[in-house]
Amino acid sequence: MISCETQGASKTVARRYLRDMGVAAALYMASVVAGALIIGQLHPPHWVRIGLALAPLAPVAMILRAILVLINSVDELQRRIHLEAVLIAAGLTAFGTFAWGFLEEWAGFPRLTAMWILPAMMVLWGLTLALVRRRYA
Amino acid sequence: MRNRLKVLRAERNWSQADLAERLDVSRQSVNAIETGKYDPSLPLAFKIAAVFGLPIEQIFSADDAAQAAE
Repeated sequence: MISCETQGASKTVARRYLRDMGVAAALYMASVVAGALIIGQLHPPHWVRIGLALAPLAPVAMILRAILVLINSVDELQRRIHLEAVLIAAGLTAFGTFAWGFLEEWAGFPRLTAMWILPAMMVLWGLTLALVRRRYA
Repeated sequence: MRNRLKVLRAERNWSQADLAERLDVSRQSVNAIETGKYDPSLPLAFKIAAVFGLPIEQIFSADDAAQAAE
């Protein structure tokens, strides 16, 4: 998925993107593991739990920034491909989560947390990117 | 929109990668323009014209204009 994202980008841009994504992913993993351990074992007060719950958002913001920098650094066709893919992924995610919401309410489907929306969109973005790219190949 | 990119490139013995480097775009972009899958923006069309040293209208033509000429 990563190589698909940086396709068409210069080596400098691709390297910077991969570096930023790597750092952000490591920080994300560290914040999630640390948060889960602290909450599970130390049972901190509520305000600390809020802080720990929001901590993974910093690396997620870094990931979104890395994606924006990548999209702004590639040529116009690559940007169009990225934007089309993001739009389709966002639409599919919105459609899917909306449908799941109705299924939860009316058909007793298991409840999912909103935490899964962003990862679902990212995965769909990877898939739609490959599909949209094929159209211009 | 139609274009003569492939012919003009061949006349100069440039590969798609050569032209892409001159235009500062990806090779895929050059390929997509050549095959008519993507119409470049006006700034990129001007850049292409500058690289070939030709007026834009000698490189690009509207589909209906090309059909009318035939």
